[in-house]
Amino acid sequence: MDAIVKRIIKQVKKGDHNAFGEIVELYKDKVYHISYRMLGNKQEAEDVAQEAFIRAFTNIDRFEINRKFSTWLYRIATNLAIDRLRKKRPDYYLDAEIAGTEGLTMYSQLAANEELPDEKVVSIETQQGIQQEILNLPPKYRSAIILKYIQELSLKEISEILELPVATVKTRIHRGREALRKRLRNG
Amino acid sequence: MKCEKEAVLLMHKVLDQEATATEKLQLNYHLKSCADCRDYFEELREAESFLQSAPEVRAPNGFTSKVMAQLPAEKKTVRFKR
Repeated sequence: MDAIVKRIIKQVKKGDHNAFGEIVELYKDKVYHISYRMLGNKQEAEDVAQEAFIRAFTNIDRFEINRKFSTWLYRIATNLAIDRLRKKRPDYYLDAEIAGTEGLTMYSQLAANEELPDEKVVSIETQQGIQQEILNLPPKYRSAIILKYIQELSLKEISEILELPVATVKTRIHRGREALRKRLRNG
Repeated sequence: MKCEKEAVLLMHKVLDQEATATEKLQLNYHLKSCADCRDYFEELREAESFLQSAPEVRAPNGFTSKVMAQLPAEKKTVRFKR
């Protein structure tokens, strides 16, 4: 996989647009998944994921070929998602009623089930429950938790993506786990 | 729960797969005698499996073509080199 990616990146660096399409195909689901878990909203997740690939393309000259491409790409995506969260209003709650609607909350707007495989192992309710719990985590714990448990990356890789020391990543994962433990306990 | 702080640190170490064999034994030994810590550890593990049960999410249809349509035009210098 790494050798293939390296070959494609070299073509992209030479200015081959089409080769970049292969990169997008390879990583689109992972990048979209990170964005979706960070933001909890399909439209925003798509915007951020697309933007991440466009930035990767325009900055490809800055990417060192001997580094791991996915680390670099996930860093771009995570940073864009965090920027997006910063710009959001802090009083944005999913269970708040939408103005001008009767009893309609943002929960009902989350049509996350469409992308699920036919075989629904997890019920929609649980699926929304997970997303809601992830969104309840402060963004700095959230990114670490997503990379660790959703993307199943190593602590070292997470530290490279977030550009933080491994010890800090560990602390954030511990705190994220603790926050979730407390919430699940009360729920 | 005097033991909690130290035991909890150990729990996280075990969950991060960074505990030594001795530390694992130490935790197991402690959990056998301390029901509070046993519950605590169980809750942490539940939090983990809860996260791990999050289903895969896929990029929407047409994602790649949308990205490709937004890429900046090729640089002149590149075209010249060909």
